[in-house]
Amino acid sequence: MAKTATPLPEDLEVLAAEHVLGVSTREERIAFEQLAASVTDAADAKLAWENRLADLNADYAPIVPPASVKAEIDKRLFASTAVASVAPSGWWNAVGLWRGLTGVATAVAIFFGVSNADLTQKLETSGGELAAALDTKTQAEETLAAFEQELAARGQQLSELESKLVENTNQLGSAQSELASVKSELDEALKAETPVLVVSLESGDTDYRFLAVHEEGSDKVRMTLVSGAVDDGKDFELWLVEPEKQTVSLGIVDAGKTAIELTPEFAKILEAGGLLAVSLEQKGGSPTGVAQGPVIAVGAPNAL
Amino acid sequence: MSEIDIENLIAKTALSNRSAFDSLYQASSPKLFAVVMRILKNRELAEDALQEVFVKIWQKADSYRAGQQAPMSWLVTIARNHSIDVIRANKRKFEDIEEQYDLKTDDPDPEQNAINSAERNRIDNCLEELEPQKAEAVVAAYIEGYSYQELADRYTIPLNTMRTWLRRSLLSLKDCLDNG
Repeated sequence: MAKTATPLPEDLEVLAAEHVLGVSTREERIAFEQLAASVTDAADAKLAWENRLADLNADYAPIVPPASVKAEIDKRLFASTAVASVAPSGWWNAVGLWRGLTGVATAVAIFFGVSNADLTQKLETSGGELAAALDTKTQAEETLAAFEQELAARGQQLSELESKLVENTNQLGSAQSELASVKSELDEALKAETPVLVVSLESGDTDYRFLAVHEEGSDKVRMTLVSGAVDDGKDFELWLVEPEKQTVSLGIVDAGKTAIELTPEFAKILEAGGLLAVSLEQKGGSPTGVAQGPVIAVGAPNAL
Repeated sequence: MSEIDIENLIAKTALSNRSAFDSLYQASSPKLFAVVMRILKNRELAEDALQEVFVKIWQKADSYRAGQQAPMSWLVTIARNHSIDVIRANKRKFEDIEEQYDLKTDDPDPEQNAINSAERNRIDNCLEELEPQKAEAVVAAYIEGYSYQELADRYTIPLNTMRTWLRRSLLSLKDCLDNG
């Protein structure tokens, strides 16, 4: 076995000779190899014996080995190289995230440009840069995902707002068309170039609102229900109220528009500032000639 | 292929030059296969051993020192050491294999044969100074990779006697070769 003490020159010579000849045991062979690796004299003695006996190598008459041996050697020595040369390109393709990472691309370009001596150093450096680039990419992806989520949420809100807008636009449209119809009536009246009385009938206590239009000299008052619910079991009854006189019924007002006949006497009262009122009565109106139901809207005439 | 060519191939192999390694294999594998076959005396073991030997050559090519050793001697030493390590680790699987195994050898070309003869002349002259049986034991040990025990069995001589024989013979051989 290998001892710390170096064998005497003669012993060393014998050990080296036995080792090179090949007659020593497995343990002795291992021990001498260890000795030769650490003691120069032992290594020198071994080399000298290899050279002395090398002439005997002439006895080994060449035998061509089967081709399979070389194939196996190449597989063992270079299979890993082949895998290594394939792996980066597969990796390159698989990790599509390389695209756009110019910092990494530069690192790789440097990596392929350097000499063997710098290879390990550059590999470590580019490995570090790659790791950093991957980190950055991961962060960017997370940020992007967050943005995409918020964008989706905002898209949802936007579509809600849009449907509300459509709804509002529709309401606005119907309100505008209603307004337009009232306006056209007014315009029509104005075209006649006769004074027009307009009475807005309403009450602070109810939602009911009526518009009454009367051209001076005409025998009609046109009534429009602007707002308020229609009760199928009731009728609206229009009354003319003259101060200190008996209130008189002008007739039943339908939901929508109604042209009410006016006697010349009643027309004069209205034109003189008589009030108009609407009460909610039983079907067909009050049977007594006096309002029995609640007054839901009242208004005084204004000259346009 | 000359010794210089083999040296160049080893040097290029040390630089991981694969085509140089391929050429080195072409040039030296018949000789090295002969070595591992002769010592292991089993084709399967020999093919495995030749693989290991060339893996070592690829890995250790940078440790070859031209000028200290002939390139073929360096290669044969790797093959011999590996083969002997294998049979020392596992008891030799075949006894008296010469009868069982018909070693096929290529005809060495005449020029190479002449060189071999010239080389052998020097050591043969020194071997002739030994008793024939001892000289034969030295050559058999080297070529076949026999252990002391195998030699003792082969010559039916006690192990210690064989040991003394061979040691004396080796020291005589050294004196003859170093002074010749």
